[in-house]
Amino acid sequence: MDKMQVVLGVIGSDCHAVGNKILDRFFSDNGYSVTNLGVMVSQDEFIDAAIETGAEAILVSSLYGHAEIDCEGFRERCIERGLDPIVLYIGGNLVVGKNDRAIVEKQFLDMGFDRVFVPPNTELIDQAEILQEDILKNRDLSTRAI
Amino acid sequence: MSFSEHIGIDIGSTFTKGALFTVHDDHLELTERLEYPTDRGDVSAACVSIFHRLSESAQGDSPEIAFSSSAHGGLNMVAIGIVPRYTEKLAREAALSAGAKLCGSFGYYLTEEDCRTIENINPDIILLTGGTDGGNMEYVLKNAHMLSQSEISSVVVYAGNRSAKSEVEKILSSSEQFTLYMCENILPQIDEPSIKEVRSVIKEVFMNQIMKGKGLSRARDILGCEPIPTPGSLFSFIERISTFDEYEHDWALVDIGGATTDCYSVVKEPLRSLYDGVPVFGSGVKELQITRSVEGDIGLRLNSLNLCELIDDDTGLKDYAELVTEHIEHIPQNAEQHRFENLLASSALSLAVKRHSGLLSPIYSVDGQFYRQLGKDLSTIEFLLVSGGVARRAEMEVFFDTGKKQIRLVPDSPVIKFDKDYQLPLLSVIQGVSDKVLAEYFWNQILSKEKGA
Repeated sequence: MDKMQVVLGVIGSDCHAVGNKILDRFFSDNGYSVTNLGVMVSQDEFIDAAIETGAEAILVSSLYGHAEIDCEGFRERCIERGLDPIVLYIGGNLVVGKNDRAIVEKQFLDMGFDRVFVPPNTELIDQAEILQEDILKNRDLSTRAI
Repeated sequence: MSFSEHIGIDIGSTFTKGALFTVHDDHLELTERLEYPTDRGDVSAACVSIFHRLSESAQGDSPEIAFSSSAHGGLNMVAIGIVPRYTEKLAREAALSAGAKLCGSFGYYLTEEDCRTIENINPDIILLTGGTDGGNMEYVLKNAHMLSQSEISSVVVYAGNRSAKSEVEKILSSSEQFTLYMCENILPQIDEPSIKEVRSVIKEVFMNQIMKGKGLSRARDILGCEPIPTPGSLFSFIERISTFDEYEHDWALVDIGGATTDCYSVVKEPLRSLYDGVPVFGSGVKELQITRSVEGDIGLRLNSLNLCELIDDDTGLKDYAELVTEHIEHIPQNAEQHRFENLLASSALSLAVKRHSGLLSPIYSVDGQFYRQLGKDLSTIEFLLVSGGVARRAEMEVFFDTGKKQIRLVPDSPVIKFDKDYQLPLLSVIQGVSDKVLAEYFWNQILSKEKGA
């Protein structure tokens, strides 16, 4: 079976490049085909790359506290451009200042992300499995829709 | 001591040119050059006459012979991809670099209307691409299906997702309307464009199939070889002479014609890293080092009125442009007409190079200002080599209006050189000379000629 395709990158005008490289390495080593768009990636670039590579998940990073503005309308834009279903994750330091983790999480879930990783300290090895489950769930949904 | 002779002929829509080149001990020389008007009724005629004359001039009995043609509209292509900034863009680049005239390009799902448009274009080749390897298959499968349901009849070159290859082949070979060629993907991974194979397949198709309808079969029978599309042959030539460390210059060739203008650029680092000390980021598919663009509205005869609009002149330039649009064979007769010709040529050159160059747009962020680059950085270009009939008589300069909000990455301080004897198409077409000998001749003979020399 072909590897699951995922796209990752750092959204907005954020230049934090290191975490992204770790994610790239990790998911590649754990059976995914990764397209890493690097830093300063716009919503449309994520979507363009996901369409071309047939990705089933977009993993968005944001480390500089402006994710709210950068991610506004991301899910809607995916649907509008034909990426439906698609798994959307976000992780990092999403907002400026000290905020209750639960509030931030809810805020991004409401925006249409499937999972929100704040603060960015999750065990990656668990994520590889969760991601696979989420992708399979989407595939299941699409088969049923047909 | 080694010795060889090479005849190169290029059939243009107005003139057919030919040259005999001689190689003595890895040293190339132009021995004879000829030029006859092309007979529109029989495009082979001038070519055959030139061939006979040059063969008589040759010392040996078996000079190498090759010819190219851009007569009868050349090679008409349609490019199909998925995302405009990825495969659709690359499909266009691949078609242009193979020397085609790009008659249309389409992204995402083809509609019935798109198919009717393609039907009307009646292209020689459709380049069907889409998806990285292991990536998206839906679009290419659906698009192949749409093509098979249409009335289009053409050569189809498939260079999309490898995983969809056999399925696409099945769909398109189910009817008789297509001749199919299957290639490697032009975008196997999102940051790894690969257009080399598709280019050579397009050229092969052109030689084997398309030339038949273009009145060149007599030339082919007498010369004993297949023609190559002129721009494709120029592109390969540029590639061949640009692989040597000792000639590491960024440069561009601008071929200014009567109706269209072609621009080819060679840039080692097409994405710049800094501008004014500020980091620059790219977007979309990686820019290629060697690219070709075609401007269908820039020309010194049929399109000279378009150029007038760019030039602030009240001394009669527009009347001159009207005159040469009516009489395309007109050659400047006096000092004033030469001045007009120079003005038109300079603005054709400037506009073609400007359109070929990329753009920087500022991005403002919490970490300060950055730039995003779209297209190719031409600022490092050292030479602009002008080719075409006008290169023989005009004096040119470049003037760029580089914009304020967005920054055009045009050449910083290019030196303008001229292909005075219009040798490039002829040099390009000959195959039997080593890349190194060609490169030496190009850099030392053609590029060293000073302005007006």
